Amino acid sequence: MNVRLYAERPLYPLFGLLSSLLIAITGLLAAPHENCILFLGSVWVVFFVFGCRRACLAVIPYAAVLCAVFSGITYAVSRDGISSYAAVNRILAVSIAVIPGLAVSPVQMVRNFSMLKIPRIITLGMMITLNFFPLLGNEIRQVRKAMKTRGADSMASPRIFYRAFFIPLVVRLVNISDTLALSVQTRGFTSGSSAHSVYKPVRVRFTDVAFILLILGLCAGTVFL
Amino acid sequence: MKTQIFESFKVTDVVFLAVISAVTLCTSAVMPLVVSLQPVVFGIANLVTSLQISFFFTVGLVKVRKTGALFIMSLFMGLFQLLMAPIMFFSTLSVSLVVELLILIMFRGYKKNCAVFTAMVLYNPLGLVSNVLYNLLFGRETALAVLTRAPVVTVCMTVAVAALSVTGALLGIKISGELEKSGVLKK
Repeated sequence: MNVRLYAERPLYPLFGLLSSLLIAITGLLAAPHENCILFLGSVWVVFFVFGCRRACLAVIPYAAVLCAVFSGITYAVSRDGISSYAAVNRILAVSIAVIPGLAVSPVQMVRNFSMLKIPRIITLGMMITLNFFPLLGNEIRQVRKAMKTRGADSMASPRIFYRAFFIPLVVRLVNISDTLALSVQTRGFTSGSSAHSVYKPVRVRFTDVAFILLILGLCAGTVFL
Repeated sequence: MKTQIFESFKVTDVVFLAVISAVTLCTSAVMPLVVSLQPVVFGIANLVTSLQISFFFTVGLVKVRKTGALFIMSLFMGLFQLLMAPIMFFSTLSVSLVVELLILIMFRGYKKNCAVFTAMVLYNPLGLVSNVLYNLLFGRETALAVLTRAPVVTVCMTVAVAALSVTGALLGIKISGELEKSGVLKK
């Protein structure tokens, strides 16, 4: 997760998650309909206004490239304008649904889940999964560097790929998980349902309620109108 | 000594399963790129992810041979799929529950490699079945039409998904065996 994309005034994480869900469902259901693009545009504006500016801007180039490529492929395969339009809407729905995930920090989300008494096993797993993404990129780079040092430059050969890339990567993953487990245990995390404190509670604000009501209204409007 | 079917998960197990889920999720990042082709080519999303899923999940199951490990990995992965495509979340969770149940009935857990292999060979093709069932239940004609429009493609894609699952599971068992021998993958 990119720290720079976090919202200036973070959304209430649960509402962020709920909004993602609603947008993805509505976007995928309404993809072939005319007003879907209006719905997606409005949702993007809502996110922008409610503080997710950086995440909103960050998804634009990815969404543009994906829309161009996949609507093109869909048109080439089906020769149908409506199918291509639906493909664009599906990609946009997924891209916009990702915004709260980019804008809300994992720590904030875990605090929120802990306050809601969600099982520790889920919050712990979620925090590790979220924090592991940037770490994995770094590990892959290190394995590639080690490959170059050993003179194994080509990834095209299955033998080299298996011996020099795959096995070292899996070994690193196992080692990282062992270190991470030790670190988690020393910080007092347990997989059981023992009592725990949240020192920085995440509370619902008026703007969060306004945000989720707006999203709900837009989704309902798109589905029923 | 009598072996327990349901064992509790330690922090180390949860951490390892979470790491495996994160890696699987990262390597499955190609899936959103083809999601728009779903109504055109049957099972394309499953095809591009089946190898990674079966490989990494096999490694996870070999290390944590406990009933429920597959469900936990699917849950961690599903929570992120929930943000992008809720249907995938329900499909992932329901398939993992079915596979867990089948493995429990057939092998009483993941103690043997053949149980892990069977689980991973079933996991991805059952994902295809769950998608079809979902579309049948919720009447998405366009998604069902792709199934019947080109039956040859449908059969080929199903076979390809199964073949990739087998390859991933075999590769996972092979690598896990090597790591167990070298002492890296401690149970």
